[in-house]
Amino acid sequence: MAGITSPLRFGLKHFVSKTAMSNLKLKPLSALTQRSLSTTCACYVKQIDVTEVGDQIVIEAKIVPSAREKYIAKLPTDPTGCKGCPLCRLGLTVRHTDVLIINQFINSKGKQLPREITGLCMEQHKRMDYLIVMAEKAGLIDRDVVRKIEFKGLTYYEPEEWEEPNYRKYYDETVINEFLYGPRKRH
Amino acid sequence: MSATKRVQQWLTFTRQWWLFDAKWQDPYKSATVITKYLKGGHKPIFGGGHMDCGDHVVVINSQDIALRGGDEWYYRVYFHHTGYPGGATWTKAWELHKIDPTMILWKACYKELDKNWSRRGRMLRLHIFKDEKIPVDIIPNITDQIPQLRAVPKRLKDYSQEEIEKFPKLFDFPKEHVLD
Repeated sequence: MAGITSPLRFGLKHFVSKTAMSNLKLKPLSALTQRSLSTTCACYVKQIDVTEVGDQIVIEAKIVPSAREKYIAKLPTDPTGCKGCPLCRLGLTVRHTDVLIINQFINSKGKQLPREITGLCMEQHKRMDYLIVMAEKAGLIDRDVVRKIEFKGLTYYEPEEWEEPNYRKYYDETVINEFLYGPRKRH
Repeated sequence: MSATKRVQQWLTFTRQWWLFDAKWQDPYKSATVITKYLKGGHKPIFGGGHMDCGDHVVVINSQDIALRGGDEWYYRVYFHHTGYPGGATWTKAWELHKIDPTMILWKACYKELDKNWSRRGRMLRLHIFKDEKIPVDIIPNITDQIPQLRAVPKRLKDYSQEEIEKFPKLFDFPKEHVLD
């Protein structure tokens, strides 16, 4: 999937020769999902299939019915001022061991979905970001994400945790409040 | 003394045997619970640390203990000195756990108990095993178990594909969304 040119218009079949593909500047797939300036949302489709026939590559966009349509929870009316955020409305306190809930907020690579799709408020979005990392480091979910740190124009990659055998770890979620709102007041 | 009261008298002064599953448990927090049973603090006849009414505790799965996230396996250090000059050693928690998986829990309970001569006798009533395998002569003694402090978490791999799909979802994807 990696290495597809961005300016292609989807919704139609495209035939590109392999030599032509190599000449073009290849961009990662994430460039596709970025919203371009257009009145229509032509770049947004459900599923992209790439097949190779001889020396031709066929890129096809298919509209697929979503699998989670049947099993969506009925949300109550919001008791707080937070409108539309599903976690606030339900009043859930999600822990990092609730893997089935956290799994809904990440894609197949393990990256967190944007707020436009999930509909979370900013506070819950940040909180979910910490929970995903906690669940990964505790060994409950698997991710293929390379964490990048950009600082003063340079990029650093996070090192691996340690080479020694991964013993069991657990996390305390009350730490997240300190990350978000600063250290606790101690008298 | 009536016949029923007589049995109650026997039971109060026997040493009972408890089981504790240390899977995914913090050893330093579970040590406070275990030592309560070693001292006999859970009994109504308990009147102080000097009383000899403690119970036996059998701990299993001590190799699956969980320390706090971040890097507690690294910064938790155990000190030992041989007595000779230059004989000091500092071993990290993961190094100690590699040598002997029952050692961290044993030291946590030893530290938690009162520092007097009754400590050695109480520690003899603590039986720690790294697996679920318990010697045959201990199993018939066990009568009850101590509840765990933390629920054992389940990995996403351990769920079946049906369970993941049928779990209630909090939101649906927008109408035109690229799956990746």
